[in-house]
Amino acid sequence: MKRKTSISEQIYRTLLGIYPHNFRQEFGGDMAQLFRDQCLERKAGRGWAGLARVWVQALFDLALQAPLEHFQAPNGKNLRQPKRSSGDSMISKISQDIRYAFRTLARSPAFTLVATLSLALGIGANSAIFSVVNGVLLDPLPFSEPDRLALVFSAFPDQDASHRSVSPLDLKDWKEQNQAFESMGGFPSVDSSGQVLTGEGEPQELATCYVTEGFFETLGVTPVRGRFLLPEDHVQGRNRSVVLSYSFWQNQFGGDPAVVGRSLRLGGEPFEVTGIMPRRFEFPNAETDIWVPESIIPESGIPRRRYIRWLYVVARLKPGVTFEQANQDMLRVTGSLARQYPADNEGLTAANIEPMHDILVRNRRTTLVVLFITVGFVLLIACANVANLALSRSDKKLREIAVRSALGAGRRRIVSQLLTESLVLGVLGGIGGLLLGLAGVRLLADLNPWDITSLAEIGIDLKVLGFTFLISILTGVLFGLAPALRSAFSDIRQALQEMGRSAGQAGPGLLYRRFLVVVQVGLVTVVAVAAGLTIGSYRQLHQVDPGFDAQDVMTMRINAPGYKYQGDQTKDYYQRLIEAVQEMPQVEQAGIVRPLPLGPRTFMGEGWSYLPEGGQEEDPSKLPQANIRWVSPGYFQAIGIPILSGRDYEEEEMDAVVINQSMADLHWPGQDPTGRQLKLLNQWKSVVGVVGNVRQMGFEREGQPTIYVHYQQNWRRGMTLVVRGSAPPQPLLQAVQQRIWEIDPDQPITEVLSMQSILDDSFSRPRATVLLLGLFAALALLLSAVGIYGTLSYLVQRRTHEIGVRISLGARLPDILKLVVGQGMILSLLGVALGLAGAVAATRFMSSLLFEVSATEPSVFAAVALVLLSVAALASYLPGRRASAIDPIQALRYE
Amino acid sequence: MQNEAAAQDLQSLLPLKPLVFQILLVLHDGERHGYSIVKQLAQESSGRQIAPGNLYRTLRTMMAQGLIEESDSRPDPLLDDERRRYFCLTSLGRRLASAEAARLEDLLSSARRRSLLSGSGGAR
Repeated sequence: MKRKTSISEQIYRTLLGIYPHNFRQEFGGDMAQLFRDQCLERKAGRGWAGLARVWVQALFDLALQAPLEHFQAPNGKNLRQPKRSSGDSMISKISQDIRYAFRTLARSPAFTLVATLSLALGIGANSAIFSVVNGVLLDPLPFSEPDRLALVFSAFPDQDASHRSVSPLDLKDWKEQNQAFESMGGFPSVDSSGQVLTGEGEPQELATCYVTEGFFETLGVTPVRGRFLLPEDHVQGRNRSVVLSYSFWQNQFGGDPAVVGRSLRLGGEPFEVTGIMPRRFEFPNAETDIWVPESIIPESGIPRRRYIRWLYVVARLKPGVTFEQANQDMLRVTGSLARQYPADNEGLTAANIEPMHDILVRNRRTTLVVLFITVGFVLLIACANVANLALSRSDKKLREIAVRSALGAGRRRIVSQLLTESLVLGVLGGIGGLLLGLAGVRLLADLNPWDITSLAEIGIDLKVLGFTFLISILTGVLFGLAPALRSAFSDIRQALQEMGRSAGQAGPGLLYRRFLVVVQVGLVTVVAVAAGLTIGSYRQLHQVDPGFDAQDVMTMRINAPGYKYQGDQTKDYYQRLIEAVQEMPQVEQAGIVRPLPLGPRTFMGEGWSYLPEGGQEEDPSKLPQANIRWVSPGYFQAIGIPILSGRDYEEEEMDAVVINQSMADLHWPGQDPTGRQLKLLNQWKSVVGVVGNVRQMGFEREGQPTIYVHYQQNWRRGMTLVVRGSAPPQPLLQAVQQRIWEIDPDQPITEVLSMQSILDDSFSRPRATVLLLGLFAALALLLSAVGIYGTLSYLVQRRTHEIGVRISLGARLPDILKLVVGQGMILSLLGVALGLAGAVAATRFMSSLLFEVSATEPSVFAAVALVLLSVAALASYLPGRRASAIDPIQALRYE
Repeated sequence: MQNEAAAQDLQSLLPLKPLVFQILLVLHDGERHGYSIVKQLAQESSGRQIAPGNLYRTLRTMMAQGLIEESDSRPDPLLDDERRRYFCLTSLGRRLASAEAARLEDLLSSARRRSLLSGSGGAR
């Protein structure tokens, strides 16, 4: 016993810190001592309730006295009663009401604690989610005037293609010929090899973004140090300039400002660091380490042809120009270019302009909105509970209110006093909620489920504080208004009589409570349905066969650096690499691929035109496009992609291709395509094998045609090594790395990931949504159960007399249960029915989050109804049992 | 002369806040420590317990005005062995208590004359 209060005492002593230093020095010890004495006395007398009372009183005391001590001097004025003159002003009334509210709340510590906790939970959840919504959806992008920014794509309207990349030559002409945009810039749309940094410790491949002129100007960001790339930095011969990202600068150079102006060795050549980007600038993604001029990529790397399209374009509208006008303008520009260059640009007769903001938040918007609405419901349910509690309390206070009313307190005054009490409670709940919300945001930042890279920075800012304060007040009004009005306007005398009679009829109190229960259950139903649908969707996601076998497969990125291996040397290097790794005894099968399915740099593949056997030749704009992926023989076996017909590549096969199921179905449905011909890169090749479709990005297996091309048919860098091994992963990995370094000790090996972890990661976003929605649904369910329990307890209490009569007339447990549980179930059924109807309407707009699950999936609705009704039955059962244990003699005496 | 000035000072402090007057009364019987004051006050006013902050701020102000002072600190034989700070009235404090009591007496005799309170004087 003594130990517990000394923890209490410790906490109290810490809290005393809010007093001014001198006062604390002098009286701190005495106050702590007194507190301890009071705790001991109350605990001995009234147990935990007593301790709670002392704590509540002490907290209010702290809240009131400490600020006063800071501002008031200990002079004689404070010993005498204040003069009357300030007694009637509005401020003094309000402050009187607030003090009165504190006192009454302190006198019912149980109610205050439970109510504050319920509200804190509801408000806290809302705060946390609002913080995220605020940071992601509402906060401006880190660019200047972001609403004028857009991404511009090449569009081929006849081919239904609207988000194609742009070639540098087209970009140059667009810039010169358009009248809608004040600037444009390009960045890569394909996965490009990074520059290898040497001379700063181990060689590293940096995530590199190759940008054109105008990129930085268009985005409108100010570097934290130095400058970004200017037009002269892009000129051949003088383009060895680099801009660093904030995170790279911190991680590699510890934030040393002297880095600007230094020379870094990239790709074996010295580059000058011209500037550092600000922390929030993570464009095109958070992994980007450096930005360099795209002109450093040689012609042999990417030929600068008008039909080789590899850029995405950012553009800034001129002030006053609308997106619609820009669309029209680009129609003109692209049309004119298509006429000018019919061979290259046929069909490219429009540009697709998308506002930047939409693109960046598109995926997350629906999820966040759903979560936001869900926590709103949770708060409403919490409010209903508190309203219930407040109602019970106002019943008890009816007598006191009667007395005060008789003493002349006007109706309005009573209402305002009661309302103040609710507001104070709301604000207390809000403070608790703010703390919980902060903790919640920290938690979300650690989990970072939606790849919101600036989540770590999202915290409580002014908007969130304001939001929390607002909903605290609204909450207070919401649950406080009805009981306050009822207390003030019902005929006091009649109400007192009615209470004494315990007539059991549906007085206004009972009706209101029943209404609250129905509303609560309805809200819970909607929340539970939403949660159930996401759970179902998640299960469906897991059912999807990824198309490969992730077990026992390691992957790592081996990017043969450009300054070491040129042209065919790259192919030779990879060949040596594969052979060496394949020889290892622990390795079952090795292969290389680009891009790796679901990997960190995954994309669908390079887009090339091809011509299937028997297709029409002469119309280049009508040629179908396929995704091109580079593989080595043995890759399919390494990663476990099944060969459905035909065979894998053999070594050095230059006129063979392997296609995927989708392509086979597209051109040769129902037949075996092996042996058929396909024209790729102006060469006819033979289909030697068909492999299964895989999940390349996203959750569905691709439906697009894909050609897996032997890597020797051209050369590419940035390949990912895929190793299937029988050994445990860590030793296997080390052995493979060892082998690779035996061939070339300077080779950077990056992105070492097991295929299983890549697969797991692909579920992280929906997983987070499921967890959160599930948590909120459980919370809502708990709160509702408490609400049902409370209301039925009240009902039992009101009808004690009647129940006593029934028992004395022979009613047994089942009969009483039928009475009580019956009440509970009727209300719950009503609530569930309304909730299901509401869910049908509401969930349709979250259908974009659902995978293979309809927004009105009957099994989910049925399961939710079942669970809720069971919980309601349980919550009703407990008061019912208590009711049956009523001593009829006591009950008959109960007034 | 000094008495008049002192009396002037006292009047300026009236009417006293109820809590201050009650503390003066409780200490009138003898010195007490904080917890004992709180308990006695609770007894005399229907169980309401004063919180530490409120109490010690008031005590501090009373000390600053010279109405009470600290006596020595020693353990209370009825409680545990911890040393507790004891407070006692000063002569100024006693006089102030008397002055406030007199003021209240004046008020009450007015009420008694009008038969609001049973007591000496006034018809039933």
